Amino acid sequence: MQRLAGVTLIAGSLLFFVGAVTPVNSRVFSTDDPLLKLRYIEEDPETWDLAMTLLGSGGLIAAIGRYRSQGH
Amino acid sequence: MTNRPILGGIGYGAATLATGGALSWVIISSIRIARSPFEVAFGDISPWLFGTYRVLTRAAFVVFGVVLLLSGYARRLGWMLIIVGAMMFADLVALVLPPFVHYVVFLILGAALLILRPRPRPGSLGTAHEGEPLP
Repeated sequence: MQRLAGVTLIAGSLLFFVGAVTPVNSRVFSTDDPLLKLRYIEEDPETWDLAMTLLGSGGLIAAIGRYRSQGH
Repeated sequence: MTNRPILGGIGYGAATLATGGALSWVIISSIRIARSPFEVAFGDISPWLFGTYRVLTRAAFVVFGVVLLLSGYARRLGWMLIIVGAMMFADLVALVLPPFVHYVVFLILGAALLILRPRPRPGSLGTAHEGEPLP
């Protein structure tokens, strides 16, 4: 169970990191200019949606790993 | 050493805090997917969602660190979680830490769980502690 918790935590964190380093995500959150943000999202809306999905699911999977670490 | 069921309860509390924080994050991500690019770029997502995410996730680090410390299992990891969680709470004023920083901590915790030997089950090592061979 402990190993499964470790694997779940690592998998969730890595999913989050993959979502965070997608080009569209990096660009959008590295600027304060709303017009540039809009341009970046509109240039690649599918990748934007994928990045948000990875960020959300990664966070949730990592949190579930914390439950598993309690399951002894 | 604190009573094991009590520690287990506190541990589940920490996991619930982490899950609550993650659900806030899922809502934030879902809003960003559901809204039009214009609304994402020019609109604001409720600061309460970000606040809930930050507070619950950081509280989970501190509480889980306390559980590890009180259990006598992985004390250094426990101290690390308490200190990192407390330092992150200090950031609730400045708000300079990006969300991925939380997942660096999750990653370290996951790696530690893989590396550390499993916690012995109650009674399973009773004779080993006394230096006698297990049956």
